[in-house]
Amino acid sequence: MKKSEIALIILAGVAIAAMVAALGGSGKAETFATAFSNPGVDYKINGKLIREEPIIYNPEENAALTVFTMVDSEGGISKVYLNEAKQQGFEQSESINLFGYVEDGKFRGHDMQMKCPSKYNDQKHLIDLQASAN
Amino acid sequence: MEYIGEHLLPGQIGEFFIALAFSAAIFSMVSYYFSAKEESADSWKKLGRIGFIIHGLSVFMVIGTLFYLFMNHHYEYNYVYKYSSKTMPMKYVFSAFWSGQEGSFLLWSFWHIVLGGLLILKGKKWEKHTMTILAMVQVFISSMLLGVYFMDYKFGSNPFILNRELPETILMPWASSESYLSLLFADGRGLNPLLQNYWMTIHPPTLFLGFASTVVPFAFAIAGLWKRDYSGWIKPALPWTFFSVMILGTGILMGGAWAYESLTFGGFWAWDPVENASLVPWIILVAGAHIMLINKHKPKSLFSAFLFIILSFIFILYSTFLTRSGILGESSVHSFVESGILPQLLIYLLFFVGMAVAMLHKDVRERKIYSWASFLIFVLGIGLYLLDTVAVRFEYAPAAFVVLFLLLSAVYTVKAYIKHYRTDEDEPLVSREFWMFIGGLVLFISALQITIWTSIPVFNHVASPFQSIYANIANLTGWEWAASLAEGKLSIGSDVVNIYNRWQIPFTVLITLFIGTTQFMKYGKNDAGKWIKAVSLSLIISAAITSFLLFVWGFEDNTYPSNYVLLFTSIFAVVANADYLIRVLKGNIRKGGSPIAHVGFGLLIFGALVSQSQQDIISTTKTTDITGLGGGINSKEDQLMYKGDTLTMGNYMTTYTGYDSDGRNAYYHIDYYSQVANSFQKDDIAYRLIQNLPVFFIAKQDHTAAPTFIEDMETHWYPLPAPTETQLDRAKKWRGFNPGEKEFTLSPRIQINETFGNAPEPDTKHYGNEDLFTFLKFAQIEKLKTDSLGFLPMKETKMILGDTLKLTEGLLIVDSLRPMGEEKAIFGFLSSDIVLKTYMHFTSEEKDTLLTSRFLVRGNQAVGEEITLEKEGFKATIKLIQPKDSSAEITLEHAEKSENYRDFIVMRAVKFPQINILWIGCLIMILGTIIAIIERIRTNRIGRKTA
Repeated sequence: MKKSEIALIILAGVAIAAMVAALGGSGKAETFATAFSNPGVDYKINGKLIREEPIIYNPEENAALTVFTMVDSEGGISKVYLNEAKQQGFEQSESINLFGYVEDGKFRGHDMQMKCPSKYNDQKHLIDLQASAN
Repeated sequence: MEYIGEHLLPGQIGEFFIALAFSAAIFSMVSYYFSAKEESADSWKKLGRIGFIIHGLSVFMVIGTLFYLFMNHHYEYNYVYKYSSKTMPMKYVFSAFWSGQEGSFLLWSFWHIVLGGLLILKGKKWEKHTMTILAMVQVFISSMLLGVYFMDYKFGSNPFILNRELPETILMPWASSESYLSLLFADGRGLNPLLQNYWMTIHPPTLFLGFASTVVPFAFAIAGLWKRDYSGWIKPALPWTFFSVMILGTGILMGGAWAYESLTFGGFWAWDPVENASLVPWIILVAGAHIMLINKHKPKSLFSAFLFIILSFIFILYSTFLTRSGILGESSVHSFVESGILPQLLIYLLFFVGMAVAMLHKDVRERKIYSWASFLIFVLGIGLYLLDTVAVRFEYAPAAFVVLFLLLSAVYTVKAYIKHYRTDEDEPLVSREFWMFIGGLVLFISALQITIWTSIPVFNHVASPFQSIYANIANLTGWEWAASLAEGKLSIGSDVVNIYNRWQIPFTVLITLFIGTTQFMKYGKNDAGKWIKAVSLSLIISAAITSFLLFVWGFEDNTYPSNYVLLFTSIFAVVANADYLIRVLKGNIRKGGSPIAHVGFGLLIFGALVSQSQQDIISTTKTTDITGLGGGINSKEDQLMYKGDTLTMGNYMTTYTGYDSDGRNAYYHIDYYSQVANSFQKDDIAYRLIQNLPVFFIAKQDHTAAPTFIEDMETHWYPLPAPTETQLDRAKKWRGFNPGEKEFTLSPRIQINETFGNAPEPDTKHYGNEDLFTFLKFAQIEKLKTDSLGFLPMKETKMILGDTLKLTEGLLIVDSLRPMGEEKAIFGFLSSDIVLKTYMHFTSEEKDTLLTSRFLVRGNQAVGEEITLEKEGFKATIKLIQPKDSSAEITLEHAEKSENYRDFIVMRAVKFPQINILWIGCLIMILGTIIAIIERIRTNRIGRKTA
């Protein structure tokens, strides 16, 4: 067998290992229900901010605590204690990826990505225009 | 009905030229195809050229028309309306042009046409074949702009569509009002302010030129297969390939620089799917380019050259598919809307996969079998999908058939390799070609790893037909990934950056190591002893530099132990290539493209490694001054700064001095001062606030303060439990430093935008050896709401007896509570009333005031008496009194006047050491690649002359 083919096989093995590890090691986007039944375990939760509920951010007391309420992809609702400053444009966010775990019955977030209104297509605006036309 | 004020002619002209561009591309492709079939058919070639020129001019006309619409503010056109407005400065018209999907396809097309023009001029005997491929790609890209309906399916998306013609709006009442334009579309929505910067002007054209340029090596590779000239294509394709490496690399790095300069990802690379999607083709292209170099010297490894060059183009298409089809969904922080072009992009992608795999077969019969099998799969997939009814579901047919097709293609690729490309000839172990090949493989695997992770959302889609199978696997084995896949919820997990870094660091270690070691090997058989001697100098120097950084400079990394190895190998890559340039090439720059580019790459990796792993977040909030007492209220990474306060931050003293706004941006100015250690004299009185109460100390002797109070207290201070009046007068807050000279001001800003949300932008102080990168986490932008008397909104605080409420001007303390007895009759209360009298006092530096408030409970109603402090701008009312434990809990509603409000911001400040090395490395790498391209073109020309 050629040396380059041996190398190919070794690297292919690494690639397959990577793939298996990717599948095995990757978590899925979870729900609050799962997080609350496994306290202490870190999860990624995808959902939306509930705008009607208050967003509490009081930097004078704690510059790195934002409290808000979020609904996950399956409709589960929980209050979130995010150990981060409130991000600009948070109120306008369309969806949220939240990373965190449950401790003492509270969901503690340590990281958050938010998706803001698209800079690409937003045709909804055209439909909203109707309101201003009437 | 006539609509008032519309300008329909430019749109019609634009649509005409889109149609012409599409037809001319088909015409050019067909003509070039026939010219390629018969080598002597020069009349076909002429027709192909004419077709391509018409196509090019038409695309230019389309671009020109769209610009015309932008310049004249014709907001009846949806594209113009969406991305521009009258207030947008005209210098951003380019950014607006390519910020949408249609515009970016036009930009891509534009570069293909420019490259096509060059191929016509310089392609010589390769023109016919390569131009057939390029014209074919252009057919596909221009079809993305057609916007015509084929049955129910929209084919492409036309940039000249009017707002009133959109499917979403066509039935809206305003769409049939003749004066809708002046009523609703007098101005456009405007471009997202995040895109209104110079990066958006230069980054997309560069990146799209990079994307476009990969088509040329691809066209050469396919042409090589087509002409059955399996190694002849490499020589003419090499300069193009390295050009593509250089431009695509520059485009990607510009994206990183943009992210660093004006976005707040907190760095230059975040492993976001959009970034990954352009990185993957580049890595594969780099692998392909190196393998082509081997081929030039020895006609070997042909297969991998074909494979990588073809794949780099396929992955460009795949990256477009990922980022434009909406399939990434939730996994990216970039927002993409389902653009409805997913099936179209997918079919194009699969078409080129199929074409390439078919061409890899030298045997015409195999080509035909594969092509017919693929076609059958395609027809079955589409057919079943069209037959999808409520009664019989075939909605998942496309996904299943895509998987089937890819499997078939993989099998046929391996088959082609075994049948046609496999040789028994082996390379010597110590030879440049062997290790370059291994390096190429490592790059390829590294690219695969990134692709696999980035594609997880795609797996969820593709796996959807087989969900029950995965559910069964999960039930049988308990594998979590199978369960996730069965629910279509596989995701990369919570620590994205970490997952990529863990995999990519070892790959980078290997690559940087090969870059150093392989440069000293010649093509063909090498003397191992000589080679060891040649590299040993670089090894020794690199080891010395690494030890210096580890033991003297203090490099430390607890997250990734592999970074210690990478530190060494990245230095080694730089040193070895510099050594090669000096000792072997004798400093001949013209021949030194390769070592120079590799020095650049090594520096890039070194700079990235050091700046990221040694980054230091210097902003912290210590609400109480003694570190450690704060406990939970210590915010580790963000600094709260009140206007006017001077705070210690890292090795600076900082003051937030206020903000100003020009309506589009609010700039928050922070002054940075050097630190000068404070000095105290014997018997100086200092106090520290512990839980908001002062604790006093007296100095033992004259001294210069230690940086922290705890260190300073141990040797220099006595506690002073009961200071006298005069001592109190002399007391000052302890402070380790005083601000020295003002060094600079940074003004991180917030872009104000109601439509897209406010966005913070960083401001950075650049030093030679490090950057101080700062951005706002919070700032008050909206005007404060006040009532008619100037009070801010009421706040509620629950207090028990003895509690203190901190106010701007002093402290409010709840002392005691007493029910009123018989005397309440005097004040006109009923005998059945319960009246609770609360005694409080307000204390400040100037005064001590006693305050009382009565709280009346009559039947089931309760009301509290308002107390006010006129001068301090404070008011409060008791809302509720409840027993709690052995005391009483008082709910106090209170507010202060807006004058009392002190403006503040929350900011993060990060030091990135040696980040300039990263940028310098980028420039050197680009420079080295340019030198290599020039040299390659020169030698090709000389080669032709002598031949």
